Amino acid sequence: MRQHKTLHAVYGAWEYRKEIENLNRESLDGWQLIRGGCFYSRFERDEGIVYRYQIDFRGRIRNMPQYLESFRDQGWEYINSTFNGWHFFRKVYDPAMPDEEYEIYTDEESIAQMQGRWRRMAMVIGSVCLVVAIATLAVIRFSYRPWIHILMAAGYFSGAMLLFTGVHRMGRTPRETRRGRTGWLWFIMMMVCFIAAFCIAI
Amino acid sequence: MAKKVEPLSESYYYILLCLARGPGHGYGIMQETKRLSRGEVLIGSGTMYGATGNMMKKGWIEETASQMENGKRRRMYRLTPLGKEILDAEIGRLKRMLEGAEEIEWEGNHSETA
Repeated sequence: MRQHKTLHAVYGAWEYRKEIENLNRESLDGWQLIRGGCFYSRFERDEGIVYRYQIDFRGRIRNMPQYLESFRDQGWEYINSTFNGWHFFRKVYDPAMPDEEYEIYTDEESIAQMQGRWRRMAMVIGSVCLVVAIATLAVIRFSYRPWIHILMAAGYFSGAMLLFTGVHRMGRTPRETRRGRTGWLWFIMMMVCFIAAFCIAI
Repeated sequence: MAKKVEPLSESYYYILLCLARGPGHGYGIMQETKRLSRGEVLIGSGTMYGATGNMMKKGWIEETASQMENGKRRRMYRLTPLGKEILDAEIGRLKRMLEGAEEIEWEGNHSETA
């Protein structure tokens, strides 16, 4: 029987709760996370233990030992961090303990702060992508190979759109996201902006 | 006199309250909060880290000499004079709210006396 496996599952940052649920389900099935990532996760087989997982977004941490101490104190084991500031933790599951013992954010304010940190980062990177996309379109008329510029601009624009969509969805439950119509409105608005920028450029 | 501040969140309030007795470390604060709130308020690790960082920035608490406990080095925090003022102001606010509530004759009391 395999002792390790790799899952290629990509989650949007706003879907971090869904990712946590999936990690918990894998643990129940005997697969324990040993490395979390943005594009793939590594697991090892261990049916003798069940963990509960948490993912924290903190960006760059100035004082990592102090940060980890806060988690160790409550029985959390640090797994790893991703390049973009997500930190993975796990705690041995005890069915006798209340669910709150497996939460790392225990009030609305700190949850909002965590989501706000990601939103700010996404807004900055998304805005940079948007500016680069517009600048790339603006130089099309001077280019010998305009299609390369169009493809590059579309790539940057898609990146910006993805991040802005994340900003819009972060903190919403899947049900709220499904109910909301503003997601489509946002998508249409972005497409209109892109087509307008393209028309101006050519 | 401390300037008017927003009401504290439960986490902030209990962290300041726990440190009012003297310096303490994160884990001790989490345990004491659970005890003082009769198990109603739990402070998670992410909330604790964020709250202590914010309160240190605001000058309400400060780090003091760390302590060794069970072979682990624990970071200790203590209340600053400004933190004490903030806590006093919050306790005063809560007392006034409770006094206001006590002045009200509850609907339930009317039916009992009728």
